[in-house]
Amino acid sequence: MTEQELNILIHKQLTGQASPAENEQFEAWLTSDGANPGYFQKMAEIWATAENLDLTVQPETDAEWEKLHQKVSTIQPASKPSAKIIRMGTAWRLAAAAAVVLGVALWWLLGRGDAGLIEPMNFAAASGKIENITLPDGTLVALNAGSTLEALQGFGGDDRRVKLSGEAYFQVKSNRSKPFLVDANGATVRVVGTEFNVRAYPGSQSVTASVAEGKVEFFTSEQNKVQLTPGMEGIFEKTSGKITARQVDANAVAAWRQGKLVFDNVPLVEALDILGRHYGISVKIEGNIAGKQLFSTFENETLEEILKTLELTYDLNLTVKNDTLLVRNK
Amino acid sequence: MATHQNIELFEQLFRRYQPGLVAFANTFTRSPEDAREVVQEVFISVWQNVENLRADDNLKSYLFTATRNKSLNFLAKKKLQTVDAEPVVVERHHSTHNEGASDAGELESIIFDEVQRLPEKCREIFILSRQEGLSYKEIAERLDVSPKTVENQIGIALSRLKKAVDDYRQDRGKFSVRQMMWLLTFF
Repeated sequence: MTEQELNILIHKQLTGQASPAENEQFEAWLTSDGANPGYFQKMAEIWATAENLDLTVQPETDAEWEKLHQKVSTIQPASKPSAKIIRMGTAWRLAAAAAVVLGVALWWLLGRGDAGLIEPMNFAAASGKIENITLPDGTLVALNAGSTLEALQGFGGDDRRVKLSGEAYFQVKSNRSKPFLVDANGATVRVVGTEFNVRAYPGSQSVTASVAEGKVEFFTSEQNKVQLTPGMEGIFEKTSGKITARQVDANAVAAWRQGKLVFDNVPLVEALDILGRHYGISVKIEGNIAGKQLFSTFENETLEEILKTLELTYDLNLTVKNDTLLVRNK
Repeated sequence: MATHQNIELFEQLFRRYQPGLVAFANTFTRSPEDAREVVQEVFISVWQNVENLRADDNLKSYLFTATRNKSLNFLAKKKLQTVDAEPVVVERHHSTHNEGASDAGELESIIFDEVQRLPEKCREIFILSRQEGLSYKEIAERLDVSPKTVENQIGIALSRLKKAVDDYRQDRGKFSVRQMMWLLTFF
């Protein structure tokens, strides 16, 4: 159970919206670990505290800042740092030094993530939505539906490290002295500046990295590593731990960014999972669909049309009820 | 003479904390206009006294405490001006928000701040569930989204709130007054 699912389960308890099955699931979770009652208690406390907040107040931040800005520009600090008279000739050097120091300070603020001034760097794309993100180093990330990205160590160290759960397309800002690393469900991608796609859904049997531009290292250790060039895809099989490489259609790999669903030899189980994330529904598989692979591209089709196609191709019964896709053999 | 304090960083600081602080001040003042005024005063005193602040205080906690004190002062002054004003208000807030028993008040303010910072849809869904007591289905109908979306957004909201509370309590990655002073005066 993910933290997200757990919190929903707890929320159902707190609001009395749990089904009998969910009640059982909750009880089982509560007693399965000594730390769990504490977790629940904390959530209950947060929930109770949130009840009385008056959240309707308008802060009018822009107008207020204008007011404050005017006021403080006429105020001298009570005790001010000693002022030095600067000759014009050295002014440019000081300006350059100040720019460097400001850069360091911003890096430091960003590097501290939760420090307060800057948003913590956790990103999530909701079901059915693609999020476009710019990281502090200028790297662009398209985050596919139902995926999360976390910037680890806030980019403060010797490298730029992110953790991906789900799928994302990276356009990494080149920086030779600070490699960019993606931790993806057990495998790691290392680049200095390039474009590539990573698919690492927690429920999937494999993690893949596909390269559109530049050179990419895909590895679990120094001994278990492949070098990927444009048009290649590295595949990490979670069960065997093996990493292999193959040629793929580079355009197809990132077609999801245009809202297309491209399945190029993808196990049907995983394809259904991706469909679920794309359309914001959960998937329940009751039939046996092991060993079935999907080769299909969907562009403007509705969910109903896609399901119809799959039903006919694989001789399945696919029905959607209460936001759940039920998969049965015919 | 131009000030040696960095106005851009001060602006960032203001934009980051002002919404949460206004909402917090409003729990005392019961008037958004007064609340905004109180928060102006808080930031003016930060700007003026940057060097005299207690350096090891946690910044967030410092700002909330300052806002609480300024709000109470504001109410006391107002009470002097209009003798008829409800005197109970100050008393009651004194007892729930005093220094010793501050955890409830601080917890409230941390949650407050984080709720304000949730993405708009997520915030709306959270408020409909928490404050209006609507079910997933009712929220879904009202906002024209699926019940699954409502559940997911609630899950996101709770994760973020828990993280904000944990970070605050565990003293993790916090930004102290000293660090703010360093930033505001260094340039």
